[in-house]
Amino acid sequence: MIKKTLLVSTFASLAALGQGCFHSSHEVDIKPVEIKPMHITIDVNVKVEKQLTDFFEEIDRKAERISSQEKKMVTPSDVTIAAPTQISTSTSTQINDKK
Amino acid sequence: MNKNFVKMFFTLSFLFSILTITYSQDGEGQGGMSPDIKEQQKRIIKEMDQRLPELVKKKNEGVIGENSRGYVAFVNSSGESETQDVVNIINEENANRNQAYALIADYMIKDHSITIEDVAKQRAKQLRIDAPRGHYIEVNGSWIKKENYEEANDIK
Repeated sequence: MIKKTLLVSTFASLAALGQGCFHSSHEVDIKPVEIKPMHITIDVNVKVEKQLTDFFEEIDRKAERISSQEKKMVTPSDVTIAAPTQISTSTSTQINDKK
Repeated sequence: MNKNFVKMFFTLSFLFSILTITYSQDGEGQGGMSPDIKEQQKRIIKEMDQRLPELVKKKNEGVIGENSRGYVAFVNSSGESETQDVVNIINEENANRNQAYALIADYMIKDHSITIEDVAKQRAKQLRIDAPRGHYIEVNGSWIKKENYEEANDIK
């Protein structure tokens, strides 16, 4: 009888221990599963961005240069020249008198 | 003594082989492109380069803008500016961009979950940030000037 009780209690304690172990390992397993996809997404985005920068680096730099040059450029039609003012005959005679 | 030496030799050779495999895999994604892919990249860049002055001019005029999908489009779809020349510029530019995105998605990034659309969207983000003031960008389905976008989002 005592032997039976001991056997049952040993099994029960072992089962409890096993459950405890299983429970703790379950928590440890979940955490990386939650973090991993986020990490991968960031990593892939960084990779894509780097490849894009390398691919279009030259074109982007040139586009920036052309754009700023075009904005600085002034066409003749943009410039308005004021009409020369006519000097009246009286003013011109005054100038001649002074000479 | 001899046994230790043999053990060390095998351990070192094992580590060396792992390092070699790792570096060769990294190289594929970076500089280890095949000559064919490099040729394609050169051709795409050359074609885009030839079109660039005209494209920038139309962007400065506010005729063409950068949409949210990584491609160029008409800012006002029903306008006088919609001439055949501009239509050609847009179509050719978008064809080249599509080829570039496909090249990046299929060969340059060793991740099969990456699609052309993913690459194109990432490019749209880059262009939205790098676009010069005065150019039009598409944000949430509507066209806005870059400076207005900067003011709205408090970007300097």
